[in-house]
This record gives sequence, structure tokens and C-alpha cells, in this order.
Amino acid sequence: MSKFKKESKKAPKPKKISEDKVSDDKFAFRTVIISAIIGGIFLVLSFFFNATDWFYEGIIINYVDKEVYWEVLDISIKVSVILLGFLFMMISIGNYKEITGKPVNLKEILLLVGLTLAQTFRNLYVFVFTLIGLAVILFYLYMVQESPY
Amino acid sequence: MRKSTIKIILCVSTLTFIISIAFTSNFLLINSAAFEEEFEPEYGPAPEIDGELDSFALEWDNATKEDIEIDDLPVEVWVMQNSSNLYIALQLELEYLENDAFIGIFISKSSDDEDDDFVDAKFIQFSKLSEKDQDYEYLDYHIEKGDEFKEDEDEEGEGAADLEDDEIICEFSIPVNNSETVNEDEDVLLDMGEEYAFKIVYGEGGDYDDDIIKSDTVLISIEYPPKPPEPEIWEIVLFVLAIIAFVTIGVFYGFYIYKIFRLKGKVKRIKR
Repeated sequence: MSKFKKESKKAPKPKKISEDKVSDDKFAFRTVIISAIIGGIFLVLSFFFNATDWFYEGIIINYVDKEVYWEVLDISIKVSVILLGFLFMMISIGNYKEITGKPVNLKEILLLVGLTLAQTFRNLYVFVFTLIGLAVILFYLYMVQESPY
Repeated sequence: MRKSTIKIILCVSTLTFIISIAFTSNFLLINSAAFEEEFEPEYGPAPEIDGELDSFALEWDNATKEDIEIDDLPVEVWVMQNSSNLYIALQLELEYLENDAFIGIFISKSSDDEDDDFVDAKFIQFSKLSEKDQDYEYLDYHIEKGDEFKEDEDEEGEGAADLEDDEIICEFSIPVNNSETVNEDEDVLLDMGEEYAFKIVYGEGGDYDDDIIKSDTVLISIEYPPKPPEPEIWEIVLFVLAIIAFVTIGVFYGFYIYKIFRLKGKVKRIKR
């Protein structure tokens, strides 16, 4: 008889995934996909408004007389479309990273900011206001994030 | 320097001065005598030829405007153009209103303004002008042998008028560069890049041979459509950069969507 009790090798019990965890994952996936789709729609809109010649002069100005307030409204629409695209992509990437268990790192944020600013090449006003908008959004996201400490 | 040399220099310079003055004044006389005014109309959106005084200023905002006098009658002439029509508006104040009066535009087949050169005529014929139920009619005539007016079989162009107190506005539209609809036996085919003499006439009565009492001629150049401005090099560079940026974003976006679906597959496998 052996002195030492032989440890019986038992197959590890499969971890039971709680219903809450499954529900959280489902919700997170739905958010990732829906946010990415909405981000994609804003990206396509941004392409038409900020890259093509169809709306180079403006969006509303194509159909009405050229006035300052219409120009301001046109720039606001262009900037809003870019910023909403950034915001939805940020939400999507944030949730994606949460599922993978890693945080969004600085490189990814800078890449997204760079790609967002790249959409504003053709108009200085759109560039300036998008830059301000991005700063506000990033500051907001920084403030609301969960602190590890 | 000798006195004789100074005299010669003075004589030559005086002679040169006199000749140059004479030449310049002669040149100015030749050019100013021919036409009351010369127009190079701007392109603009087509005005409604409705004789509406209320919308007139807004519709004719792009027009080239000049004040002229046909004999002693002050007239504001508004001219504008698009690729299919030439638009002329005349605004004048009459001191007294005759029952029957007309305002017309005679069109020359070239920039020459001899009587025989005018072969086309457009009239606004007013009736009962001094009464309340005043009316007008647009008429298209052609002129043969300089003074025989004959009504066109095919009416070309449009005309309308409005009268408020003693102020009259007449609007005309005349087809440009349209050889398909213009009957060249009756109307002048206005070609782009050419100049044409237009005689503006005012008359009292209804007999166009004899009742013209005031007239003057203007020269109108039928312009080609303005060319769109060439884009500058930096605009092209920015456009190319924007396209490159969006293609890059598209590639990243596609890659991200692919990663989402891969992760979804992975998570499903883990759950099983």
C-alpha cells in the first residue's frame, strides 16, 4: 500500500457561466455591432459631405441662396456627422475591448482621432470645429471612465 | 543749343500734340456716336416673363442695368442671358398716356444699325392705356425692306408688361442660338460670341411704319456660358488626400467588422 494517497485525476468541472454573464456578453455584442453599423453609416455620410465635390460648397447651400447662416449650418452638419461617427466607433471599440478583456489603449484612441481628423482635410472650418469637438468628447470619456484605483 | 533747333523741336512736339488730340477725339466720336450703350449681359437664372412689378427687382438682380435716353425719354434697360434666351427689360415713365401705344425692340441681323439691317421686331402693344381696363398684347413681327412690318406666322419669344401709375415695365425673352425653333425668314438667329444692334422704340398708335416717335439703338453682345473656374493645385491635392483618407478608413472599418465577427465566433465556441 502506498504511503501517499494517490491523487485521483479528475477532469476539471466545466465552469458554469452565469446567466447574467451570458446576458452581459449578448448585450455587449449587440452594442458593438449596432454602434459599428451606425458609425459606418455616419462614415458614408461623411464621405459624401466631406470628400466628394457634390457637397463641397455646402449641403443646404446647393438648394438655397448663399447666406452666412446657411454656411454655418452646413459646417455644423459636416462636423456633427464626423463627431457622431467618432463617438459610435469609440463606443463600439470600447465594448469590443471589454469583451476581449483588454482596455482601449492610447494607440487605438490616437488612430481613431487621426482617422477622424483625416475626414476634414478639405475644409479648414470643419477641421477646427472637429478638433474642438474631439477634445470635448475625449475629455468627457476620460472623466466618465471607471478609475482602477 | 541753337535757337532754330529749339524752334524745330517745339514745332514738332506741338504738331504731334495736335495730331494726337485730333485722332483721339475722332476715335471717341466714331465710337460714341454709333450706339447709346453697349451691353455684355451676365448669365443668371431665367426671370419669369410675367410683367409682375413686385417680383421684378428680385428676378432681374443679375441683369446688367444701364440708364439710357431714347431721344429725350429716360429708360432703364436691364439685360441678362442664359444659354437658351436673352432677356431684356425696359422700365420707363411716361408723362402722359395715350390710349394706344407700343414699346418695341427691333433686332438687327448684325452689329450694323442701318434701317435695312433691322429685320426682326418684338412689340408690346398697349390698348386703352389711359383707362382702367387697359390691356396689352405681345406681337412678333419681321421687317422687310427696312419699313414693311409683317406679323410672324410662328411667334418667337415672350413679352409681358405692367403699368403702375405712369411707370411701365416691359419684359422680353428672345431665343438664343436655337436654329431648330427659330424661323430665319422671320426672326434673327442670335449666335453666341456675336454682337447685334437692338433698336428700342416707343410709339403712339398701332401703325408701326409711321407711329414710332422715339427710338435709340444699343449694342448687345451674346455671350458664351461662363466657364467653371479651374480648380487650383492645392484643391486637387486636398481632394486626393481626402479620398486616400476615406479609403484607409474604409479598409480599417472593414477589418474591424471582420474582427467583430471572428470574436463572435470565438465566444460562441467557448460557450459550447
